[in-house]
Amino acid sequence: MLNFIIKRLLYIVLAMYLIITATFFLMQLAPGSPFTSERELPPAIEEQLNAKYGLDNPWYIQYKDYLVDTMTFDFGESMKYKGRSTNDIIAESFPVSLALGLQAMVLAIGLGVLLGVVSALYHNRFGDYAATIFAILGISVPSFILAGLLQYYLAFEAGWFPVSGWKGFAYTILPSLAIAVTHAGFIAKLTRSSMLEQNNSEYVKLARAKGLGKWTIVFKHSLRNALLPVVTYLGPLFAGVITGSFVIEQIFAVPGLGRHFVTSITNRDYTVIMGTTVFYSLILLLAVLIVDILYSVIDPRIKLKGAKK
Amino acid sequence: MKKKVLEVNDLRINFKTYAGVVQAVRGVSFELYEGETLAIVGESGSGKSVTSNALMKLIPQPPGIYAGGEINFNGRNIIPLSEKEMMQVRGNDISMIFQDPMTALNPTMRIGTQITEVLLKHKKVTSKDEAKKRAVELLDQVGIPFPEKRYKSYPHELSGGMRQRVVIAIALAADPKLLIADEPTTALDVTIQAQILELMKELQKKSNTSIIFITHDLGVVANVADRVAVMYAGQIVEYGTVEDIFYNPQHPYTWGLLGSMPDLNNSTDELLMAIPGSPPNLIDPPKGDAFAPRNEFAMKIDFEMEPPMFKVSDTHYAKTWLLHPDAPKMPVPDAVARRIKGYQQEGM
Amino acid sequence: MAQNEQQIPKVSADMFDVVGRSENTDALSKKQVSYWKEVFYRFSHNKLAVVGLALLIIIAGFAIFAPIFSSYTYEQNVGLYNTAPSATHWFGTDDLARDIFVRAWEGARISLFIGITAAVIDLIIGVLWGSIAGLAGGRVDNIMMRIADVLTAIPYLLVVIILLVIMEPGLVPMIIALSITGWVNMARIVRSEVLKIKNQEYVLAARTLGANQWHIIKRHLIPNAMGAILVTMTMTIPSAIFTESFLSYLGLGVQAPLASWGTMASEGFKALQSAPWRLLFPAALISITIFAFNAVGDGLRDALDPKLRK
Repeated sequence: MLNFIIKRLLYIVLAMYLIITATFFLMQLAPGSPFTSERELPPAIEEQLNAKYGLDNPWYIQYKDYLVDTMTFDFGESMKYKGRSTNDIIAESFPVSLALGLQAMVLAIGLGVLLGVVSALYHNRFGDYAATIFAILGISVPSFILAGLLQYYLAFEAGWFPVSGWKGFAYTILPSLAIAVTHAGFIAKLTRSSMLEQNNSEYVKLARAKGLGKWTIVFKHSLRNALLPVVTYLGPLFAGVITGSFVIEQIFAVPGLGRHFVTSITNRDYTVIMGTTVFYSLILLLAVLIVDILYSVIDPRIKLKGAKK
Repeated sequence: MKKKVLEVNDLRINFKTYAGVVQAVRGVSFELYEGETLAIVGESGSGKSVTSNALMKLIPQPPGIYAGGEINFNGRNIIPLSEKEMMQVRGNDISMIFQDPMTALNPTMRIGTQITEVLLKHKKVTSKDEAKKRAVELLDQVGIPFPEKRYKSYPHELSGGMRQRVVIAIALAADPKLLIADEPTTALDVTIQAQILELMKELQKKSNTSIIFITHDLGVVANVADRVAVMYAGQIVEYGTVEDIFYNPQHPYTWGLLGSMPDLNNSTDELLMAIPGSPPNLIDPPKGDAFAPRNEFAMKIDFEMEPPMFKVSDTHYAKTWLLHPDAPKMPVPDAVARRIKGYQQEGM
Repeated sequence: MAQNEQQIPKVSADMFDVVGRSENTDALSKKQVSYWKEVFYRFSHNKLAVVGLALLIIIAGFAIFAPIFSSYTYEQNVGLYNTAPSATHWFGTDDLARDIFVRAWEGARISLFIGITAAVIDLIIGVLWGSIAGLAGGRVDNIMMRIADVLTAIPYLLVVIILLVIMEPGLVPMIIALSITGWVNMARIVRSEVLKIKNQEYVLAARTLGANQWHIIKRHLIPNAMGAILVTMTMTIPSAIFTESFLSYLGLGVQAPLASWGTMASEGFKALQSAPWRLLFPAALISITIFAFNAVGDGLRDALDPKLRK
């Protein structure tokens, strides 16, 4: 196990290096600079600003500086909001996004597994059709559209929920729901097909031959085996929740990292863009590692080998 | 007179499929007595597995249909029983072991738990502790070393032979009167095969369980069976004691089966007798004898009318027109005759 | 058991003439239902999939013909601002007095074009990458798949967003951005199909008969992998449409006056209170299209699944 973790961490370092480099060069290629949107700056001041941010150095020097900074987790200062360091921005807003994200994940998994189990148990009957249609609808309606509709009809018109902000539990419901629904749909479908597959397996047949009842078989036998593929979806789920946050946070005015990221893109605020990208990538790679470890814990057959595959 | 445990009368089972209705079992009848072993032999598609699954009503009901006949277990027809009532029977009065022990055991559940499940469900014990004790006993009985330790193992930690022993332990946990063994040794190495067969015979002697043994391997049949039913295309074509079948086979298909076994006693350069072709399509079964197209001894009547079951002796029946009093007397093929002589000499 | 008192049936003497085996014993095997016929059968019995397919055909039809037959063009000012759906303007009009119905179907063309093109590009790159990796094996395979792994490690959406930032949003950049990481999935699937087939005996047989790589790819690989490829493609398209609408909402979509469903939806958001139809119609169309593709894709996957064969 330890071997596996170490190898994966090395792999993560390599991947991060590539991501950082790629991000850097992409930013270099980007047209415009953070200062172009402001009114015409006198060239002297522009030069000064460029010198301050090292934008006038040859690219390889910028690259070296950047690498060094990143190693020390110094993501520099925001170009747009003078005096605000990227690290501060991340430190402030990430916990919010994390809370939102975790809530969305719990919702997605809970709702998804429930729907999936129901549709598998009532296979080809009404329960199956209803749950499957629900799941497909969830997948089909883009989260931001759902968010807008929820906000308009349930918060604004009906007043059941606050329209926007992040001041208490009630504020978290609509945003996390909006993010979760699509993923709940995927998980429901995954759970359903996995459960159905278990139904055709030999050990379920043996369980029936033992005289066990349908519900006993489902909860004591099939479910645990059926959920294994769902665990592998946790990685993409996490990624999806992060990206979902970009737009949802905007719509519901949640002060999370996603919102800052989007704003920084519109503002061409390169330091924030790069810092946030690197940060997100790292989180995602770590999340996948955690999921893999989790998988091996749940499935007694898996012995993690030293190599990745 | 031994007690009759199972009586199957004219069992018919169909399957609705995309291509049509498949008549998988077409009028199967047999009996089984206490403490004896009946082997059901046949190639793939003969209906032997469907029959055995049907005995525990394990056929999924769409697409399967119980189209006729009775299955009388201890005098009671189980076909009309509800699923709830069947759950009382399964694992308790009748139990089953499967071919592939790797997939038959739940990979994420410890083997001990898989045994205690049966005991607790059918109330053979009064507490969880008692269940565990009994399970460890069972593991010991089936020959698993260090049973208390193994109680906690997962299936993938055991070898194929060990797993099959666990499957047997599960099947025998509730002391069933009837054990259905569906090709239990096919997936195992030959040496392990012998061990498992020995184990089964031993356990049977101790508990007087009746066994239905499904296989395509005549060698195994000779080893374990008291009586044999040969199945082809959904019907039993020959039925008798082990001696009847091996010393006095009457049906050309049985001859084919015997002739295609390697014969170590008579080494000639002669090729193994192979039956060309394959079993018929059961969506549209032929109107005559189903084996006729592959039968070198087929007669005109075989293509027109299905033969009835002719009596050869009190214990021996065969479903072939060759036993009609007006039919020509066919000698048993040489290859088969040689083997029969060999068996008799060995004192099988 | 069997009849104990047998009425032995009367049979005429000549019926006992020995006839022997039938000539064509091997021809008596099961009625072979052709593979594709059975696939088609299973698909057509899947209600959801059929509904999805019907919807796709309807949408495609409208996308092709509605703008042609409409009395308005997509940028024409019809004089009515923000009117609700009516007999003359089935989807209403927007804040620049444009007929939404026409715009919706022009948008359909754009969104579908983006989705399908991205999927096709993914297909081409993915198939090439996957089959080369699979066929070559060894180090080449290893390296190629490692590259693919790293690419998937990079969050898809981040890459897309950043690319769009660099390239200035528009139709072509959008398509490029969508295809850039999508091919990895296709490559993985193609590679696993190749590996499956590579080791099959009939390929070995073909090889010993002297067939070269291309021949093998053509005759064996493609028919077998086709199923998996087709399913993947039907899933890539809705994902592309989804991402496109998402990015458009962020302002990174195609630029005016061109409109895709995504840009229309994002504009419609702003007028949700006063003119909800401006969001509802494009949103509904997006959802229905994604739904239809998913239903068809699921149906295809179930129909092609060899485990479900009789």
